[in-house]
Amino acid sequence: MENQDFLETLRKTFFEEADEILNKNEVTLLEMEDNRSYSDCLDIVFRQVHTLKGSAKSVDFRDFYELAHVMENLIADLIANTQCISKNVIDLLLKTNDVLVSMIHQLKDDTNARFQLGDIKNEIVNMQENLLHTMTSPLEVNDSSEVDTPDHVTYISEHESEIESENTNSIQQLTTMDPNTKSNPDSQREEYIRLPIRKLDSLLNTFGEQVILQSILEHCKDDLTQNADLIKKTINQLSKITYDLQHSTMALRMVSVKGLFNKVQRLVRDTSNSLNKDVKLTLNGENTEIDKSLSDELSNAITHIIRNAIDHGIETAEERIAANKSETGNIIIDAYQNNGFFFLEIKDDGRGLNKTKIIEVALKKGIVKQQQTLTAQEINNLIFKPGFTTVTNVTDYSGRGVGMDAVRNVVLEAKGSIVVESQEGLGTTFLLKLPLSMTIFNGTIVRTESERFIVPNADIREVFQFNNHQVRDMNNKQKVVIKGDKTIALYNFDEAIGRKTNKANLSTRKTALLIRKQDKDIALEVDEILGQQRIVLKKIGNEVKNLPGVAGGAILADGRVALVLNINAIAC
Amino acid sequence: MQETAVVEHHHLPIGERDVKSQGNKVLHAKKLHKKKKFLIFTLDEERYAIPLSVVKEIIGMTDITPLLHVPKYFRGLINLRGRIFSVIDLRLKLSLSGSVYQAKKTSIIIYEHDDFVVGMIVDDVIEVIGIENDQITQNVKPESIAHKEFVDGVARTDENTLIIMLDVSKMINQKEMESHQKLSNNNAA
Repeated sequence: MENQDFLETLRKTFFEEADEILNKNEVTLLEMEDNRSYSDCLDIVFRQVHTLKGSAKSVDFRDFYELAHVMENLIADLIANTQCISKNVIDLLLKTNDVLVSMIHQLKDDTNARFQLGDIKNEIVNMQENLLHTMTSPLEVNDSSEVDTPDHVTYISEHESEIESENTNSIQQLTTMDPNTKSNPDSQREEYIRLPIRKLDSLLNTFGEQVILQSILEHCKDDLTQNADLIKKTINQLSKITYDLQHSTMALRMVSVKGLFNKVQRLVRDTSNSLNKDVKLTLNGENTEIDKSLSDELSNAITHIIRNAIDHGIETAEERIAANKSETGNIIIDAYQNNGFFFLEIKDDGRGLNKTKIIEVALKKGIVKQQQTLTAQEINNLIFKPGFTTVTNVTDYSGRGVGMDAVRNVVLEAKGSIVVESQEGLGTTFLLKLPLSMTIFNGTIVRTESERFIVPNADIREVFQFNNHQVRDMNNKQKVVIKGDKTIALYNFDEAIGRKTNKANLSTRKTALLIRKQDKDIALEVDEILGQQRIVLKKIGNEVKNLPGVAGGAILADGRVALVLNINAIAC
Repeated sequence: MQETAVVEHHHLPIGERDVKSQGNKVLHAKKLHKKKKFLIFTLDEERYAIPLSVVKEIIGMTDITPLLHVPKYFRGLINLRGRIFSVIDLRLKLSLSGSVYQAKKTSIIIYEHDDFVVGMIVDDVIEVIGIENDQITQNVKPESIAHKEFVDGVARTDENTLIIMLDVSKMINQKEMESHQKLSNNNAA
């Protein structure tokens, strides 16, 4: 039994090592293609694969070991003959790396998984033989796509939602498959994160300060009256330290967007190659940090936006020349932090959103009515409606009409926002704005009857009071309140959380929260505003996770639990 | 001679982690040969048992924040050292009459089943004892319980007291929770 435990521990370490190495391989291989620094890059990859091969053997992952061995041989040949390196060779290396990545993914779920590697091994052997022939002859860039070969890896995790089952193109599968995203949220697999030690040290320092303040309070308790001033001072300092601690601990979960950027690089390369478009990708702000779970969630959203950009945005070389643009299309991604938020701009200089087409499709799908007049921005925003797509040919890459809607939902779930700007002929820009932390925020405590709820301040635009004479009944029974020159839909808090109430608020002066829910303003009437507090969102059990309008729970200053409202999920 | 484990403050074996805190009772038990350990508590003077292995902690009655759109027996949420737990009222769940909570006696047993960690309110927690399989009669459902599906059988101790074995997997019914939410979603729409 002990041996088994030991093997499991070793294997865990192996998985961590593999994740790191295979990721580094991909980055290095892509770099190799860009910079043509073949020898250096090949050396790096060779050493890594060699190390990983050895480790795989020692933890008894036979199939992995064999494929790594074959890959190692190919690289050895290439190192001896760098003139043979072509785009196809690099493609094959990337593909093999992908297969290894997918094997690790499988093995993490089932350490006894076996793999059918005959096809990929053959491909590698064939490549080696071809290289033998071309060793003495000048390098020919072989344009025929060797990448369109039948399935190599027959194991594709069933949990991958992006797999299009009717499409058997293996490159397609390998590029859409992203083992790093949360494909199976219920799996018990542990996730790991790499931390710079300085973050931990900084945290420990702050803890040290807290311990000191704590002991001051200990001494003070002997005589509370005499030490009153010192106690007050210490409490102030403690609250600052606690804030710092929260911050530092959250910072531990932050990862740089480099990981996302690497994925994007690979995506752009593969997509533009398959679609025969020349695209130059510029990435800015790779050291910007975001919460790891956010990074995972954004991955799919960004993938979709970029696919669309390359597929529908960027024109073909001829079209671009005819339009007096550079032959190579441009995609620029900017990542930066500002004011507690994370911003991501994805810009392309393609053909932009076609307003006429958008309106046409929207009319056809009943998303808008004939007589509606829309501003340019409103027209552009129609792409976020469910089921919307102007694409007539559904390609492998995009056009299924579920994308932008899903992207928007992911962003909204993360309490962020997404905006699109576009000029026909010039290009399109997407701007994503996301809060850096979803779990710690400032909230307002409201009372309705005898219960208390918390509304995140980020959702509240304003708190205002109104009189009865400002309230009107609309034709459809919807109540509205007149505030200044605006008419705002008015709801009772109880209604919003789905509770029937017969209570009538008889006071003349009432209080309401002005909430921005997606793209409209609503007013929520409450009995009383009790105050504000820094809120730490706590998980509540699976048994209550899906209650309507509830984002989670939080503990108020008096130690009691209050529910936190999820504005996007309230019933109005 | 009944081999009963007395409430002692030993450390649990490594496999069972306990959470210590002041003011809360955590029951430990001596390792008993061949007998499975059970926590005994009372509802309406009747004795009930659940396996000790699922028990995480036992605390006294505390403030409960009620929830909407939940079954009647679902009392709400509590704060236990910074973590939030759901709490159900076992009397209501078993369709016994509800009663006033008595200070010092009414307790909340925090237990774990599958992915759920939940508290249940009981009248009083008595002891931990070992019960052998042959002391348990399955499929005998006592008259006092309206919902026989929550009961796993009846055990007879050496002193001839009867203990009703509760099936913890039946306490939280995900489907029931969901149907309550659907009902209220419909009302709200």
